Parts: sequence; structure tokens; C-alpha cells
Amino acid sequence: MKNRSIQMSWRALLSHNLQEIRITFCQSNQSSEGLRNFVVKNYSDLKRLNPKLPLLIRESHGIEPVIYARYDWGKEEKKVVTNLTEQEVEEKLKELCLMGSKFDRSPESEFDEVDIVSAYQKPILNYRPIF
Amino acid sequence: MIIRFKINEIECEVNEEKEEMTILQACTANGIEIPRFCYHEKLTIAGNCRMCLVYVTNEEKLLAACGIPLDENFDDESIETEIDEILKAREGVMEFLLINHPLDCPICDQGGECDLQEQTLAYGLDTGRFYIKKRAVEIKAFGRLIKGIMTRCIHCTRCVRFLTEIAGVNELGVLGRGYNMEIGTYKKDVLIESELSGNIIDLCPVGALTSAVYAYKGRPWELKNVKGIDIFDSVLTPINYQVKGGEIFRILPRINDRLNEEWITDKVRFHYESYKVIEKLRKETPSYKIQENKYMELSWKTALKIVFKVLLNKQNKVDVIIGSKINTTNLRIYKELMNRLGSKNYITENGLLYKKFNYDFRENYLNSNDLYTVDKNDLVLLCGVNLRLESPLLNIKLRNINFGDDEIETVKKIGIIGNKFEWKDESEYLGSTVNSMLKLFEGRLQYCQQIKKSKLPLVIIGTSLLTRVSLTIQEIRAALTKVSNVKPENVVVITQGANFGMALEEGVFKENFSKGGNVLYSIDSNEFKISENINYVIYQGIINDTFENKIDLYLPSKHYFEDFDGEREVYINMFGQRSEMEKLKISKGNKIKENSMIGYIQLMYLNNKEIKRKEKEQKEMEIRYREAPERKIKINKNITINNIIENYYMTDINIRLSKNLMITGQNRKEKKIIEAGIWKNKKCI
Repeated sequence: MKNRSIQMSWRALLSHNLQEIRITFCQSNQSSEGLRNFVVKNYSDLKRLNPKLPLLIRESHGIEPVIYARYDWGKEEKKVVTNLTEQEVEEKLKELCLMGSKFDRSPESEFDEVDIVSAYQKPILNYRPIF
Repeated sequence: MIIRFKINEIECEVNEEKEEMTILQACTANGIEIPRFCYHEKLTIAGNCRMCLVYVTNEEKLLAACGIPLDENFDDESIETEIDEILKAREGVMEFLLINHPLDCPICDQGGECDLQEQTLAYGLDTGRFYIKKRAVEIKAFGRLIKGIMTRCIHCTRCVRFLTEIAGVNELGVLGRGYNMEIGTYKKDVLIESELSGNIIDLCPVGALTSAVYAYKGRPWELKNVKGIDIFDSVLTPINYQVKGGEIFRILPRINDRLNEEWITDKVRFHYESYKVIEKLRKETPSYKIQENKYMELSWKTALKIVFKVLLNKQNKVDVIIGSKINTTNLRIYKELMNRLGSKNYITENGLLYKKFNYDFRENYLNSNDLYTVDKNDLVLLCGVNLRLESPLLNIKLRNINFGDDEIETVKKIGIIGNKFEWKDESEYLGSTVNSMLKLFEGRLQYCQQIKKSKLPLVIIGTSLLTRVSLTIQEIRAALTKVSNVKPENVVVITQGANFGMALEEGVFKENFSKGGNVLYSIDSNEFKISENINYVIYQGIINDTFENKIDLYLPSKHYFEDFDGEREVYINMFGQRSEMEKLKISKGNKIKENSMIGYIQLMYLNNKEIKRKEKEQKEMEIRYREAPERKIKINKNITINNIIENYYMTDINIRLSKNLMITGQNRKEKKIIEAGIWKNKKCI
């Protein structure tokens, strides 16, 4: 339980530190397998904790697996994750996330801030068909 | 059975079971061209011009190649297309066609691209033998868009076949027989009501039907082709601008078998008239509002200084709304600019319709089924969409489905929820609210049994279902696939706006935008209402008729097709296909600047070095479907899901400013009889 809370602590910080994440990978190439699996397994959890953060997943053939992060005031950083495993990909994303705490934040994003504590208390939604 | 035969001593093979071929098709497949007037690849076969006669061994008479299928009888036979007997027959046919055809080629708009002219040169007789009086037919009025000089008509009936079979309106027909035969409307002065009526101009092999807007303006050999895109529709039909000396003379379709075949809508075909009007009406210098209705001209330097003052003022909250035609280069630049300013308030005009939109995955805003294989679907359900208005080109694709023979004939194969609109006889109306859709999937209607029986049903969904009911595409797909046997790629969503797909690809969107700030920066965007909070409006664009003197600062910019780096620009249509556009220059004012240029200057001011993300080039697109992350949803069941376009001919400023198209649109809506003989009284002929 303790382990989990340490592991998860940065995840809800994403929407505090970042403005947008853009993930590009190839659908079939083996070099982007780690990133692909990371997205498949963790997308719904990341989206639950950061409902307002755009997590753009743009796949195309033959492209390098890269994570772009956009911070406030238009700053951009990228991490190339070719041939990395899922855990290494997660660490890279964590680095990008923690990098954001060094940068200044704009008054607008201070104003729109999401309460991080409440994000953790949100229930995992049950599955139910619409019709 | 495999049929072996010879065409002009070339040996050919046709497998009868796999493909049905006529003689003419077999000839063109082997590189032999046969002259024709009435035959057209996309229409049914009429066989009334008799120009395509060929000789077949062991046949008494010459055969019309367009109408005769290759079957067992042709085994071991040989077909001849160039022997003396046929050349003589062609001369005869040409002579008959030319008996009554007027000799007004010098003033005919078809000159230079006329089938009759070319084939007379190639196959016709060099002397005339008829000195009797020529037959004359009245000039017919088909409205302001199409000019009908019916004396030139050779009765190939291509226009009649197109309108009845493909466009689905029965306005044109053949009247009389023999010497008295005419093509015309059955009643006098009836308007052709189809949105695709302009295509009969392209189909006409002679100068009987020509464009009224292009009349006496140019000759085809002077005009240069520039590739373009139809930006009024999210199908992004490929078109050709025909240009001479920095002016658009006319617009023709580019052939693309997967998308538009050979057709384009009247909207694109005739909208170019507006560019001339815009050139006269627009201001060429930046201007600043001093009082109501009083504007002061500014230099670009001072205008941009004012912009920066407004943008950098800490008390201001700036909204950027980007027009639906703005290209990818500018989307990127203005997103970057707003990010540099520490703001997220940017959205496209069409994005304003949606309160919420999850654009994380491509399949949430793009369709992978482009309706090319629509013939294989055995049931179609239309939800909240009037295809005739939202996408006329997809409408004709669906209209022409043949459902084939079926055991049960009484049950109808097309279900419509939402708008009632004129469609095939086979359609069944199921209701107009969300409730009727729910009923359908709970199995409370008779129609449900039909859905369960069908093997490959297709569901087409309009924008209104997403905007008014606030469901996402993913959720609708997931729900439909659970309840029925619809495949996820067979749920097609019709979106609006040319750059909607590209904007979401780039991430230009914001949820709940209506709560925005107090300054509006509109980049060539007209079609929305300014909210009450806003007290300062900057309009950067071409011309505006909806803001009603609310503009405080006006910056003149260029059209979307002359406004990008390099020579080509890429848009993405609603099927995720790339369509390219070439650069075209028509603006004449020296002081008008490109949107991208203004954006770059603004970014320079903010000390920027690199703007473009070079790594992010998408090489190829492939859409796969995932399961939806689900949530609890409350829906108001009584919302009607009608189509969102109210007036088809008012959706864009370019259409509002092209006079002939606008008036035709109004007349079509009100079902007015056109002003009789608008072309008769003018100086034409």
C-alpha cells in the first residue's frame, strides 16, 4: 500500500505541471512496443486522475516512439523512448512531470487548478452501457 | 467460361463469371479508344448516339459497342474498329448529327473542349450535303446557374440520366419524337432542385448546357489548372481552380474514384464569383474604431503595437477563435502564440458546437470507413442527419445502393431518425427524438427485427447527436456494438468544417469555451455570436458581415489558399485521408498580409526561435478501435436530434457574396418558379 502511494504520487501532478502530452508511436514496430503497452495499460488511470489534461495519442507507421510534454508559457520538452520497457517509459514520463515543477506557471492555469487530493478520492467508474 | 477473342488482331481474354464487360470496356482496357457521345462510365447505358459502332465477324450488322456485353457468342470472334466499313458508318452518323447542329462554334462556350468538334475533325466528312433549313429549339431557362441553348443539343440524354439516376430529381426529360425531340423540363420554367445540378454542365458533350456564371469569359486553352480542395464540406473533395492572370475563371472537379467520383456540389462550383466582390468591398489597410461607424486607417506597425498591448495586458483574458477554413500552418502558429502567452483559450469555429470532446484518440474524430464499399451493407440507419444538406456527395453514394433481391420485400431497409427528408421509397421514418433511438435498441419497434437479421448494417450519425445530447463518438460506438451486430468501423459520423480533423490532430480545442474572457481575437471566423462579456474585438481576416460594427481593430489578411509556407498544404478529411492543395494568388492589395506572416511577427516579438515541430510528420494513418472508458450518463430523452444546418446556402461568407448561387439557393428553398427566361432577354445569342 505504501509502495503504491509513492509510485502513484506523481501521476496526479501531471495536470498541475503540464499543459499537454503528445505521444507518438508506430503500431507495428518493435522499438515502440514498450510505449504502446504503457499507453494501453495506463491510459484510463492517467485520464481518471487528470481529466482535463489532453493526452494526445497519435500513432503512425514507421515513426519513432517519443513523448512530448508541453509546459506553461509554451515550453516544450521531449523524451525519445526507443526500445525501452514499460517501466523505463514510466520513469521517463515521471522525469518530464517533475521537470515541470521547476518552470513558472501562468496566472490562467493557477486559476483553473484542479484539486489533486479530490482526484484521488474519485471512485473508479463502473461499466454500464448507455442504451 | 473464359472468352477468347481478338480486337484489331490483339488477343484478349475475359472471364465471364468474374466480370461483366461490354465491347467498349474491353476495348478501352486494351488501349483502343472508340468515339462516343451518349456513353459515360458513371451512368447507365442508353445507346442512342450510334457513334461507337464496331464490326464483329459473323454478324450481319455493325454493333453498338457500348451496350453489348461480351458473352459466349463472342468466343473465337474478332472485333474490328478501324476498317473502312466502320469509318464510313461513323461519317454517316456525324453527318446526321450535324444536320441540325448550329454553326456557332466561335461564340460557344464549349469551344475547345467540345466532343462534337473534336470527333468531327477526326471522323467527320469534310463536305456538307444538306442545304435545307436547320431546325431550331427555344432557349430554355434552367435558372441562374445553367444556361440551356437547346438548339445545340444532340439528344445524348446524359443530363437526364444523371439527374434521375444519381441526383434523384426528375426535372429533366425527353419530350417529343423524331424531328420534334427536345430535352427540357416538363412544365415551363421549372428550377432544377438538386444540390449537384452543376454536374450536367460537365457531362454535356456539346455546348447545349453551359455554365451561366462562366459565360463568354474564357477559353479552356488559356486557363491554368491549380489543385484545390472543396472546403465547404468535411469530405474535402478535390477540385481544380482554372485560373488566368490572378483571377479564378471557373472550378471543375478532380476525379477521385474513392471520394467524389466525378461530381462536385453547386456550392463549390459557383462560389468563386464572391472573390471579385470581396476584392471590391474589403479594406486593404488595418483600421481602428474611433466612434460608432467611424474607422481610422493605421500602418501595420502601429496596428501590431495595439495588438500586443491588448494581448499582453494582464487584466485581459483573450479568446482566440479560428475560422473553419484556416489551414494547418496557421493552426500551429496561433496555438503556439497562445501557449507562449500562457493561455489555453483557442478553439476552431466548429469546435464551439461541442461542450465536451475527447480528442485523445484518432477514432474519436475520424472515420475509417469512407463509404466506398457501401454496396455491401444491407441496412442503413440514419441518426439525426440530413445527408442532403450535410454532405450531398455522400448522399448520392448512399442513394444508389442496390439492396438486391431479398426474401422479405415488405420490410424497409433504410431507417431514419431525426429529420424527415426526401429519400428513396425504401426508407422508413422512426421518430425524431433520442427516445425513439432508445426504443429501437430496446427492441420495442418492429424495425428491430430487421436490424437483427441484417449481416452488415451501417449507421450514419450527424453532428447534432454529439452536440445536443453530449455523447462522445466512442460511447455511441461502444453502445451500438453491444446491442446489435454493427461493426465499430461501420458507425460513421458526419463532421462539419474543413479543418476540424486537423485542429483536433493538433490539439486546438478547449472544453466549455463559452465561459471565456473579455477580448476576442477572431482569425477569419464569422459564423458565431459574440458573447456579452466581450468588450474588445480584434478581427483578422478578409471580410465580415456578422459582427455588425463590433470590430474594434481590423487586420486585413489573405485567403486560405494563398497563405502557407511552401507550395502545398495538407488538410485531413473526415475519413483521415490527406488531401493536398496548391498555392494560388488572387489578392491584389499590397498592404494585405498573410495570417501566417502576422503570426510569425507576433511570435518574433515574444523572442521565439523555433516554431515548427519537424519530427511530428505523420507518414501514414491507420485507425483502430478501442473499448470506450465508460461513465454513467444521464440523457434528456426528449431532445430532438435534427440536422444542424438550417440554410444550406447561407453557411459561408463566400456563398453569401456570390449573387447567382445565393438567389438560386433562396429560390430552391422557397420552391419559387424562376424568373422566366433570364437568359432569353440578355444579350446571349
